[in-house]
Amino acid sequence: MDIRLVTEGPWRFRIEPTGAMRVPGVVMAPRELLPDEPGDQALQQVAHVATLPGIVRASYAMPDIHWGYGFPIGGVAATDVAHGGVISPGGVGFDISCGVRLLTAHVDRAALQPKLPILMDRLDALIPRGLGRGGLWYLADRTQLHEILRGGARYAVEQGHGVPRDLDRCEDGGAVGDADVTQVGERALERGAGQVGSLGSANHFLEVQAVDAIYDETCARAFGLRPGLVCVMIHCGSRGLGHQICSDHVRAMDAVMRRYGIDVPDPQLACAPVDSPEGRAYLGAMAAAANFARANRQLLADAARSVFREATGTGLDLLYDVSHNLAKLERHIDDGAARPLLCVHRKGATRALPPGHPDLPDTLRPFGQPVFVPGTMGTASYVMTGTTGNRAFDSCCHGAGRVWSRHRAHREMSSRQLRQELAGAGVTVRPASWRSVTEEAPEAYKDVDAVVRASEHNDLGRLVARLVPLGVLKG
Amino acid sequence: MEAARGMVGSFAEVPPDVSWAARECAVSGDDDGRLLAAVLEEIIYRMDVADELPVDVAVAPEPGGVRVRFRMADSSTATQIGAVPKAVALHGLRLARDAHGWACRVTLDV
Repeated sequence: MDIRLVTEGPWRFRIEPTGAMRVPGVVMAPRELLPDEPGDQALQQVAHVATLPGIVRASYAMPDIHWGYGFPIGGVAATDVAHGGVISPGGVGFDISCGVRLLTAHVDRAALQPKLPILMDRLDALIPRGLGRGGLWYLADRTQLHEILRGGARYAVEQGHGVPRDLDRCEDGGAVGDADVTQVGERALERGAGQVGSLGSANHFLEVQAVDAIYDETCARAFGLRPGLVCVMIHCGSRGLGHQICSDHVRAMDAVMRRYGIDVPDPQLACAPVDSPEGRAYLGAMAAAANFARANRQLLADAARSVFREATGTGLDLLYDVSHNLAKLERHIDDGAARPLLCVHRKGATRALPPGHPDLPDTLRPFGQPVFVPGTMGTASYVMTGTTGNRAFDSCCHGAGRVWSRHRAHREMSSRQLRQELAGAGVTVRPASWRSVTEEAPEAYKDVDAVVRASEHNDLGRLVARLVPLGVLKG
Repeated sequence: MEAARGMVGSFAEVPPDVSWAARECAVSGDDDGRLLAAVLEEIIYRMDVADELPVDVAVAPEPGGVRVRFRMADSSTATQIGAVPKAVALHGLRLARDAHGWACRVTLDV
């Protein structure tokens, strides 16, 4: 498929519909953030998504767009359920409901600094991550795993792994409705059973951070952020369970989609109508994985909270927990009076509800939904908030976005170089493996400052605060 | 099974003299590419549920697919050197024979 990329001002590009594209592509990134490696297929993938049955408005790419499988990472697409709109497991991604939660401490950076090494040592010893390390929660039996798949973070809190206020600050109150455990395969259950409360590896992390700059004082105050405050950011998802569900349902849809008259340009885009047995089956399994991911982050946050209490005498308050790999059935007010039911896929994109949205908790509603944009372990992360007039179905970026492959990172960066670089930046790192963590070198990612700037210029969100890493736990 | 060795070698180093246990299973797939993906998925599954990593893999054709024989080591004996794979994508999947022999391309999610 030919790509006709047209400039739409300094901050975005449009891909004109050609061939089987049903809508245009809209890439919310300036030229310097566009993928430029030879052979990169990210923009082609934006065009491929635009061919999905029932897609409306546009196939969007966030400023952190990079090459994914089927969908680009940083892709947003909505389909009209009543008009044959499809759901694609590849449009959610393997790591279903992968997301970020941010907790605020009751201690400032200067006061924490002398205790940081012992804090990091304790987290290092406690948090399972990397190859084959199990999880924090040893489940009694399969029934308890089913409870997690139905109840998510809500069940975890009921079982003593957190406080009720945590749920008020989780997307969907900590649990997605309509989880259907019968649509989760045996292998997915087996893989999930031993991994509740584990980080995984790759770009997942637990970071101790400090607020470095505030851009919106009113909003920051409402979020509980002030200069110098220590925070904890956790990034992980649904582990082997979510990956297995994605694999199983991609194959199930790949086997039947031609019966629905659907043809896709990439097998990882396999899909079925939302309103079909296969579509409903995936939605039920996806909801179960989303609940697993929320329980997973709840367990990790509760463990971090207990370590903080031991090391500093103070706890951690959850600011918010939000997914960046999920499909949701939503209605959007700017679609006219009819407000059709849409299936909004966000793959590597964060939901970013505007101020006043009824789904926000009372304390956050006037300010919009917190959006977390992790950068790298050597640079910075950002807190943004949702704004009105977001044409990308209230979606925002989800991170810096990779520019180097993992192989290239190994070629260009030695673990010794990386250790020196991070030590020089004053960042304490506790990796599962230094050789593995070179894949996550700051140089392997786009400039996160440029990504959030582009997000703001494209009305995807508004900057609230900048956070810098103090201590990093990686798998 | 170079692809299986390549996948494991991308994230783990297993000592050469490690003790191992024999495992065997049947794997099926609609075409060569899908068959390769299914074998790699089998390794990922066993790594997640049994903390095992293959030190050797042998594949023999049988009706409807292949029979895979693993020599599995405990994954706690391995050193992690890269991100741990969790799934095999169908995007860009290829296994084909050309003038130089068999060649494959597989994308792993981590």
